[in-house]
Amino acid sequence: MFVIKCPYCGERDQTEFSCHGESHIARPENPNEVNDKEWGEYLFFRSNPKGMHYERWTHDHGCRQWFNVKRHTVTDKIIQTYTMGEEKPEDNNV
Amino acid sequence: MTDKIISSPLIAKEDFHANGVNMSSTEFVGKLNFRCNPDNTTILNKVKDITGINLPLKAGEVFGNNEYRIQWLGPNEWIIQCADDEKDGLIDNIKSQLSDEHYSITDISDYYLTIRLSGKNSNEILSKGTSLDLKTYICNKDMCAQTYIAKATVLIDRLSNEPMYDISVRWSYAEYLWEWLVDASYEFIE
Repeated sequence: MFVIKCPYCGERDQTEFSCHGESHIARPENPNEVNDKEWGEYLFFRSNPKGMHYERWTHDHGCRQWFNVKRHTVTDKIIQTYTMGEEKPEDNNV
Repeated sequence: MTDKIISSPLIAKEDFHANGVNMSSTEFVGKLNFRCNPDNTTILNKVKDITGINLPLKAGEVFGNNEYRIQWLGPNEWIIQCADDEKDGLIDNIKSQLSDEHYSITDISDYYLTIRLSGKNSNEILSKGTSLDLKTYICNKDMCAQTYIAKATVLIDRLSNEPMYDISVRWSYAEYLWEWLVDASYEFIE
């Protein structure tokens, strides 16, 4: 069983969760002032790293809250889960 | 106003007492979904004044008295259970007392049906269908957890220290879940 720790409910099976892509992507403050290239990068380009990845997840079959997950894309190990609005943890554990 | 049509997918089911479990359906309970910022003490106090119970703020807590039962769904979401014929009054009361606050209250009584499961084999039967760690999250009375049983999303509320659960399930999944639980119990045929 692959267990994920929801910051609100505690440890639950992965089948209760779903992943919604990379987190910590800030929308440009003034969309009218950015050029097409910058807007395209905001919309479509993602880091896709081999290593530490920061993702947004939801606890669909539980509290239905969004939260962040720090996960290693090679080992699939989840290093940390933290709530929305918390600061992005440093990329030190590999 | 037209007469209310009272029906439910479980209304024709006879209570099930065999294989170490008892199952019955308890429909037509008023259920109100309440959401607000848990840091807003004005709202928390007003809800306490109206219902006589605090909103539970810890994961999986349930608080209840003779009239109401409040289940924790998430850090800013609860279900307030009350008698079916009292829910309209309760909504009006909350709306009038919290008119200046930011919150939401929704009548979801008809979204869910409740299956009451008890008996010595209930834990084993639940374990067959859910990945939830029953010994951690719903080990004592007045604890609840949202999870799924046999792919149906449910809210399990433990009513006593002896195994006794109220399983709230979507109306359209209720008959399926009932039949699944009956079927699961035949592993423990006596």
